[in-house]
Amino acid sequence: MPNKILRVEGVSQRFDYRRARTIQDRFTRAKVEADSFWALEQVSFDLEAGKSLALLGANGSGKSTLLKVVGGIYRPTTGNVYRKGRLGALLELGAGFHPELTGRENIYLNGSILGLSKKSINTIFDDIVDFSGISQFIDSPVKTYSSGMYVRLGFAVAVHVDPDLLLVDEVLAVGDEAFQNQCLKKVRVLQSEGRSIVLVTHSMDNAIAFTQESVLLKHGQVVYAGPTEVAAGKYHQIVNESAITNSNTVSPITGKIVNSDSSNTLQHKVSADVNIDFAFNAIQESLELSLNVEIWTSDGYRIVNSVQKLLIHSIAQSHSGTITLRNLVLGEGEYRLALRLMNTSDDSLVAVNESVGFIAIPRSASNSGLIPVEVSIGNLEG
Amino acid sequence: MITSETPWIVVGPKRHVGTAVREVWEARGVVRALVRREISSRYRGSVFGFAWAVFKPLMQLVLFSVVIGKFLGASKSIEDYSIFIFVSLMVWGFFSECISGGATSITSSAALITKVSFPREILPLSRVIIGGYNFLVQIPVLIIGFAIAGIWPPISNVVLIIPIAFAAILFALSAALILSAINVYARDTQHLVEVLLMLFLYLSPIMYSWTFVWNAVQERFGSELFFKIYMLNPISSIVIEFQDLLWGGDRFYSDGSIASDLIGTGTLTYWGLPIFGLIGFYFAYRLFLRLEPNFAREL
Repeated sequence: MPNKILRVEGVSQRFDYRRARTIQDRFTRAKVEADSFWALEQVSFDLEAGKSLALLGANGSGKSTLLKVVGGIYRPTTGNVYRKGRLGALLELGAGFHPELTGRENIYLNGSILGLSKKSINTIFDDIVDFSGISQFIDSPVKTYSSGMYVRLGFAVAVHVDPDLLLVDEVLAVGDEAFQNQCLKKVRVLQSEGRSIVLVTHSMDNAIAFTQESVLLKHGQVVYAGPTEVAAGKYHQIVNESAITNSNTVSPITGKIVNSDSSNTLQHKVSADVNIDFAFNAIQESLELSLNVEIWTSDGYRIVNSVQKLLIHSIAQSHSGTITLRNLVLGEGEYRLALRLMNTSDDSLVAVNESVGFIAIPRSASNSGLIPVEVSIGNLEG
Repeated sequence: MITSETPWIVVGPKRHVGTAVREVWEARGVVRALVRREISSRYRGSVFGFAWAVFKPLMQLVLFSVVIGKFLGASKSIEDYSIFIFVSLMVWGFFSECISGGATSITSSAALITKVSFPREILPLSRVIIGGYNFLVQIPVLIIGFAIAGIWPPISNVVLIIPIAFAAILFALSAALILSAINVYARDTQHLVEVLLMLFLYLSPIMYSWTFVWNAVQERFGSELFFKIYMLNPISSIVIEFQDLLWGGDRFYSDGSIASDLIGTGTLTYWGLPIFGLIGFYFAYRLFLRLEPNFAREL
């Protein structure tokens, strides 16, 4: 029996568009705006204790809403969330501070909300203040804090309350680089202690670095739940597909790396040719397209973007071919191959395939980094 | 460490009154933190600090007993008017603070509601506890008043206060729960509450005795109906009981009636108050729990 820390069962969340705030509004415009939409629909997933999970999706896909439901801020319209242990949460900016209270008072208030006694807050108080690095402002009302200070204190509280489950929403993008690194290091420590983290992020880099599992949402529904690497590829697909404005130009483009294995990965040597078969149907005639071949690193950088012109004359004909990347030289790691078709007349995206396949370069002891370079040391003295 | 034995915490669409009460009990540390913070911050930065808590009601006592008691002559028909008005104002102050503070308790804590999870009813509850605290700190002033006037309520009356105080807390809490929840959806509520509180300071027997209303109604209409309507306001019944037990003792009003004559008027009686209070509280809490799931979204 696997040891679960979080179970989300059939959670749906309906939001009503009702902006009536006064009785006057209620009488004059209630009927017009009484409308609702489902921000989440039948969302189910679970998480094993000690593992971490990323919630992925385009803007408006419902991932932040889902995090708030998990954190108990919103009650689900239907369905249930089951969780275990102490919850630490950093949702959007700030960790739920009362603007009129000082930093010190907020630490105590937040600690008590998270279920700590006054005595146990006393013991972690100095650690929180040290971590946040804002000790000289700790007795000022938090409304006087800058957004950076807010996040620093919020994060410091969330990670020091001994959370079994930590919810983090995008906040790692705030704060300077030094503080970000400090946070990420702390997150690593928490993970090594067997605590679980649920992360909402747009950075596939962070998702892959910090989580094993992912839930990918689209319009409030789960489209994929599984390993983060796979989810990240599908995330790119969803986000970029939404950029296709005119879908009546070509059919979706398919592609496959020749010689790749069952998980669509080509075990590649440091330098070799890579062949990709591709196919699509043209729905319009006389198209001037460009085919972009892209290679992405697992942490979200595009290191190759090669543009090839394609002229299409006839309709509804299956167009296919093979792309060859000659003598592709890559450093160790995993790379993702993507294909895009652009219409050159108006520069619009007409088809995209974000996960044609993966290229894996085996790890070597002496060479890490994107570009493999043979280095030797000569004239060694002393 | 989390094991398969660790109990699940469930967040579902709705809480029931029973589970909600248990959750509030488990989160009592939050109530303590909120109340302590409010009380300690109230007089922070002032030289006389806590003395203000006693000074304000004392001034009110002097003002009312001089202006209404002497100038308007209420002390001619109500013996020991300063004790009478002080008891009444203590009770009124409690209700007025719980109701006006309670109404805005959710909306003024939007930063907490939208970011952290805790039973939301803790906010109106802590306003009521703060109201109770401010009631209690006035008791020394009341005791000094008893000593100056040379009248002391029988000990049995002090014991009899307990169920009435319990009813007062339940009514105040019910009002705070309902108003705080409604105010999230219609911000007019907090303004309406201010107006109604102003009105009910005069529509409740605070500065005058309920017998004035009783006599006037009998004289003009010859019917008890209007008096019964007047007494529908639970604050009236509770204020009268407090006056009866602390000020009245076993003495008579100057017109010969005693406070407990209320029983003869067919309105709410002693034990009716806590019972009705409990029923009201149950329904108020249910209404709160029905409106609560959307708080974070509405704020």
